[in-house]
Amino acid sequence: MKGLRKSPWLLLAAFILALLFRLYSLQVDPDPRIRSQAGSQYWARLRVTAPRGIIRDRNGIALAISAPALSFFIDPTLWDPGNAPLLQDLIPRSRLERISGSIGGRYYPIARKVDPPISDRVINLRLPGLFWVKETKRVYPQGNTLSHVLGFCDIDDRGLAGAELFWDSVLYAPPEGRIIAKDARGDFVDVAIPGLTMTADNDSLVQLTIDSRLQHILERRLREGVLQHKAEWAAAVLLEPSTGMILGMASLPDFDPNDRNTFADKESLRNNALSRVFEPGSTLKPIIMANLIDNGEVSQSTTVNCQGKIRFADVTIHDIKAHGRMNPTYIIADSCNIGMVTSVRNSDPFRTYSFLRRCGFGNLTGVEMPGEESGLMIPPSQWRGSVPATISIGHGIGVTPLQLAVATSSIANGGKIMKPFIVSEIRSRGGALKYQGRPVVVSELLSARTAQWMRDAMRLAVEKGTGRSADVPGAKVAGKTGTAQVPGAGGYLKGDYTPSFVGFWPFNDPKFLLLVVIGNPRAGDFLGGKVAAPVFRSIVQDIEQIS
Amino acid sequence: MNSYTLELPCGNDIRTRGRGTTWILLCGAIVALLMGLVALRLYSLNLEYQLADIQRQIVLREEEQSRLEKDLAGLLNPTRVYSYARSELGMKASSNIGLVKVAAVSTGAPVDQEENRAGSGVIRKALVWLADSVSKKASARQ
Repeated sequence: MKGLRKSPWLLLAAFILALLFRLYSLQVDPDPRIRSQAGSQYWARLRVTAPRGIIRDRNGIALAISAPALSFFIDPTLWDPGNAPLLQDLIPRSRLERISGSIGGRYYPIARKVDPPISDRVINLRLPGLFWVKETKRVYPQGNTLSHVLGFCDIDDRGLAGAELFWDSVLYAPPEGRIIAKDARGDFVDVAIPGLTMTADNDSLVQLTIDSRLQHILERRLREGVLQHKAEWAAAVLLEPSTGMILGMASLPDFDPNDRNTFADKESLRNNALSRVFEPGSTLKPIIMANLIDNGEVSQSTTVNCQGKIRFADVTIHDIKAHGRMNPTYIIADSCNIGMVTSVRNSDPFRTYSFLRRCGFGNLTGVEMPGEESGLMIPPSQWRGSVPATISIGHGIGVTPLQLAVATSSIANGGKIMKPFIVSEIRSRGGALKYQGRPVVVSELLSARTAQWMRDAMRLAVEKGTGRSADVPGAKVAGKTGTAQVPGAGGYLKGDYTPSFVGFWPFNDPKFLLLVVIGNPRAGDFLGGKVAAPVFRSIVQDIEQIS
Repeated sequence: MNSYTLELPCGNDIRTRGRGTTWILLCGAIVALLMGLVALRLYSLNLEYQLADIQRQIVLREEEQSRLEKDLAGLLNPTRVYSYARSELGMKASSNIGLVKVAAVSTGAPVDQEENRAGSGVIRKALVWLADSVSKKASARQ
């Protein structure tokens, strides 16, 4: 009876104890969901997009940079589809149609990486349910210029082609998280981690050896040549022969990395300077002849009699005309096929093959660019019949324009094969030097005497031979023309040619080496001396005016 | 019991009163300390707001800098400069350009300086005349 009388107090005490326990559990050891909900009122984890590093030319001009842009999305629960027409012409049509009706979920992206003028217009509409986040957008301020070398990125700023792809590990910076304190109104108050800011910096740098002014000249003149002759493709490589430094590299057709619609044509994405394998024709003759002279198989006084055609194994090789008796200098200057074929008649195929490999044919040059082709070289065990003869006149061998330019540089620089390089220096985030392009001698190919002799012969080719239309008074150009047929299924294609011209200047101490290749001209002439050499000359004239 | 209570010595009363004052002072000091801490917190909060505002300004300036760098790179584009020079400034490129390479004039011994200077002036004038005449011919050919 006494216990019953006390029971209300006991029940009250038990209730108070339970209340205290619950209070304790809520305050000291709350549910994780409550803890995170409470935390979100005071702290925010912000996703900060870091820009990609900058690509600059040798003079520091920005070629690829990241600029601020906004990405817009809607929260369908707060969005009124009736507002969709207000976004007409500001966002993609497909997205506009989609947000005109009902959508599920809490997040629907409508436009990514919108440039400031348009993004400002969208923001000023102040539409409920429309939100945005800051991002960076890759911009190529020079448009089509150097597009193949620079390449491009995907929408998430990952490199997909060119230097953007090759140096993606340096240029790309992943998005970073930042913990920010908030006040009662939800405004950011400070950055919780000392030393971090609300933006992510990326000062990584890829500095190219390219000079944008020279590049502009290359592209402009090459484009003029392509348009004049209605050619299908073209490539030009400008080198410093003494170091292997690439000063310019042009390829046509090209694209605008800022405009993805120009990516539709796959041919325009190909860098013809690195990825196009073609038969060089007569532009290979100086290299083959230099080898013959260096080996002592041909002397500078040896003469051959060109009668306009010659039977070699199973084929008859023709020349443009009967040149008569010629020494090696005039074989090069007049680009005599018969002279070349006669000169290599007794050569050892294994030795010639080994020489061509040392020139870099059949190997990657190792330039710091993706997509390079190694070319095509038949093993010497298969050099049967007319193969040695056709190779001596630049057929039956596939090279890239860069390989040919590098091999010809050995004549210009006194006999050395230099590794080509297009990157001057690479700096990672924080400014640490990660890579520096330096001249590297790959092999000693020719003696200085032979190289000097060949420079004189190539000078004669421009002064009096087939390359006269490449001559620029005062510039002392030396060079060699080439007109190659294009191989197809079952033989060479009728009416398809690859005219080219490779030269350097001044011939006695070359500062520049330039190769111009025009693929499949359809209008006017098709000879290297008529199609490629004038383009070469116009480029030399322009370069000499500014250098 | 009561008489015992009444017999409490006066000194004890004084001590009790003194202890009370100490407590009051202590409490006052604690309250002042707490108020100081609150004031400090408010001051730090104010600084954090200022810091956040500066951060926002830095972000805006950095964005502006990026935009300016993009604009600058676009303006330095040789293609734009070339087309501007041709279309707006009337630049014409000669179709047949000849190059005249001028060798550097070496300075002689100090005794002959005046003579050399005079000589180099004549050479320079001659070269300028030559270059001018060549360029006029080039323009005429065009």
